[in-house]
Amino acid sequence: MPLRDITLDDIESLAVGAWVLGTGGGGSPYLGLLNMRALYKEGYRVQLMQPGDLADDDWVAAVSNMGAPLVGQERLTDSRTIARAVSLMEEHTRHRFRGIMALEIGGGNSIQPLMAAAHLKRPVIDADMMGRAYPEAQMTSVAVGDLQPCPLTTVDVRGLESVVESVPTWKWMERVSRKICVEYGSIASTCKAPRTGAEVKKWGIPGTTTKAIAIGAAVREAQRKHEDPIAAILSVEPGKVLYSGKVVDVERRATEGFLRGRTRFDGVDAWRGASMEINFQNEWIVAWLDGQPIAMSPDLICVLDSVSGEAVGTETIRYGQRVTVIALPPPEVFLSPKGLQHVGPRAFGYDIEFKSVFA
Amino acid sequence: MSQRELSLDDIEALAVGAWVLGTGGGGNPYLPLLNMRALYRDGHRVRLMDAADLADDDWVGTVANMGAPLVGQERLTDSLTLARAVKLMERHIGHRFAALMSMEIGGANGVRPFMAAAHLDLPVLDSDTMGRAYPEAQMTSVSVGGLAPYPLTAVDVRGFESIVHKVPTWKWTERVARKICVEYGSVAATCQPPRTAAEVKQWGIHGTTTKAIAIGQAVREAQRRHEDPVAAILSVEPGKLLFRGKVVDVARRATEGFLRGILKLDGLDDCRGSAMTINFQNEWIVSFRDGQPLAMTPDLICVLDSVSGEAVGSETIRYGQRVTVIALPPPAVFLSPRGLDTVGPRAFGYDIDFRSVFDS
Repeated sequence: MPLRDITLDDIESLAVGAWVLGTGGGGSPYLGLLNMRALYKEGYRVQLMQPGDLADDDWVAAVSNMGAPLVGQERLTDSRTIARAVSLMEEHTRHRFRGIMALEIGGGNSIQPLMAAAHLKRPVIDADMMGRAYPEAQMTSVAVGDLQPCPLTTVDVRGLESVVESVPTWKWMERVSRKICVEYGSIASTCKAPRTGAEVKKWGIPGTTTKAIAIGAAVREAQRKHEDPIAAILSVEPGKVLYSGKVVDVERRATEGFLRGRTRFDGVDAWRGASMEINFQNEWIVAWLDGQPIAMSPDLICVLDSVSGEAVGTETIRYGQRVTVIALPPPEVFLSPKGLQHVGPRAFGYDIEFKSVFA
Repeated sequence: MSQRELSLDDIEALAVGAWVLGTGGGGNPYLPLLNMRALYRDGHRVRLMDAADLADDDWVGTVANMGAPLVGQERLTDSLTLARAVKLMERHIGHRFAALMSMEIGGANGVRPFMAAAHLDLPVLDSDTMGRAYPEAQMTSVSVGGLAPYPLTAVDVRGFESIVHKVPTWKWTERVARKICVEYGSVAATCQPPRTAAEVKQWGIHGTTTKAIAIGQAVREAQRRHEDPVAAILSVEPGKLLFRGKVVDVARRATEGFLRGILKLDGLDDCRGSAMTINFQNEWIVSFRDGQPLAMTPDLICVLDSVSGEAVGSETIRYGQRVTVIALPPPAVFLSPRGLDTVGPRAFGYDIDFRSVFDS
């Protein structure tokens, strides 16, 4: 398939759709979107490439911002910084990347590859490694596939640059790179372990940029037509409505670098009299209806504003909001026994068996 | 000048002398000495050479362990790990090193370049970048010289490898590398920013390995002959005896990754009736006699066991020990205004002007 030009309208949709796929975490794509608007105004353009078009021995860069979303709102990541993380990896490994892909399509990190691609004049690969957002480095399809966790580059806007060259496990990659990121000031642009085209084709989660754009386009179209945006999402994705209600309590704790807590809802409309609670660790992890677990990771739990259809994040949700909770099906790779070890409810400390709402 | 092969006896002396030059810090060289004994038993040999004998565009690798000395006593650094830090640097910069050198001659890091050199079959330069021990990465002659503070490699025995590729200042090298080291478990083998031989010739502190060996030999010879080992040090180094006394109090705090505290001594012999306190941050930093500052960094303050003449470290000194405090002259590079900004008393938080005990 030929490369496809990504329009600014696509990117506007990507920002909306990626925030839905962020399942509460990943940070709002809004700042990334502002970067892309500025780049497009200056004449930069980016293109999308299908993973199937990669040669097996091509090299692909996987990028993401690492750090505390709250810090990221004050210390903005500019597009040259994420591009520098990729260039540093090229200098270090002496491979030239064919394309750039997202580590996580959910939230702000969906747009980072576009920011790097604009400067480096490479296509963005239509794939990621989570199909959503997850809080830790080992919660990826490539970690489930036991691919090499290193090297990793981290850079920041002041010119700090480090390389994690070798670690025994993905968990250790998380630990060492996280400490570097914290010392930089809790925000760093990273280029993850380079992947070959063959690895991306086997272990990448394909089509997720296109999927996010489609979700965002559906929401925006429904908004324009004053139609139900949630119905619009469900018309393009095989999702399920779980609940509709009003936020009655939010409890947040910032612990070990994560935003943990729970949100409680009282039902409205068809759910009047029923209450829901959702536990989160950056992302929505387990949803309970009247005390019974009804949806859990790796199923995607998306909390949406009932009127606008846009996603609501765990760091911004507040008392009184009217929301609709939907589930979207998870990437296949996380449904294997190994996948569930990495991202199933027990990986987050919930001693329950995974049961998909789609089973 | 040619390269000189070191005998195991030289290395035994180096361990004693480097501990004296450690000025209380740098970690006891005993564990690296055990490593070197084992390497010599296996047939390895190491060579010493002068920086002046390198071509200006030769590359030099600077080797040091980073971390908490107390952790280093439990998680031992083996010689192959140090060698791996050097190999990683060579791979990263794409140059082979012509020689290795010590970052700090004081303490255990005075011996560690030889551990790497034994495996890599490289000579070690008779130079370092501190002329003693100091607690932080920016407290070196190459930092005073404004040389590039990157890249730095950090590896550990389990196979961890990281590279600090770029930083704006030496202080940032210290910060980022220190965090990596802490996450590894508070001990890492590092190869410090690579230097050209031209840089080493201009900014290195020369002759320090030879000096440490000479100090160690003097102490060991005096021990064998039952003579005064402190007098023996002063016969090979232009030092000054500052105080003889007995430890009456040690207050230690482990803060911000450093061992800070105060040592109190009561005078003996000629010093009876007089008291000395020495403030330390890993190393002995400022000594006060009867409340007046007497000797301070960058002058070397060495606290020695009065009987054996061997150095006593800030982490092991204890109540009741009989010690003799001497000062040794500092490397000239630290006496410039920029040098004193980097390692003078104010760099350690003491609002006093530097005055050398060798000025009067």
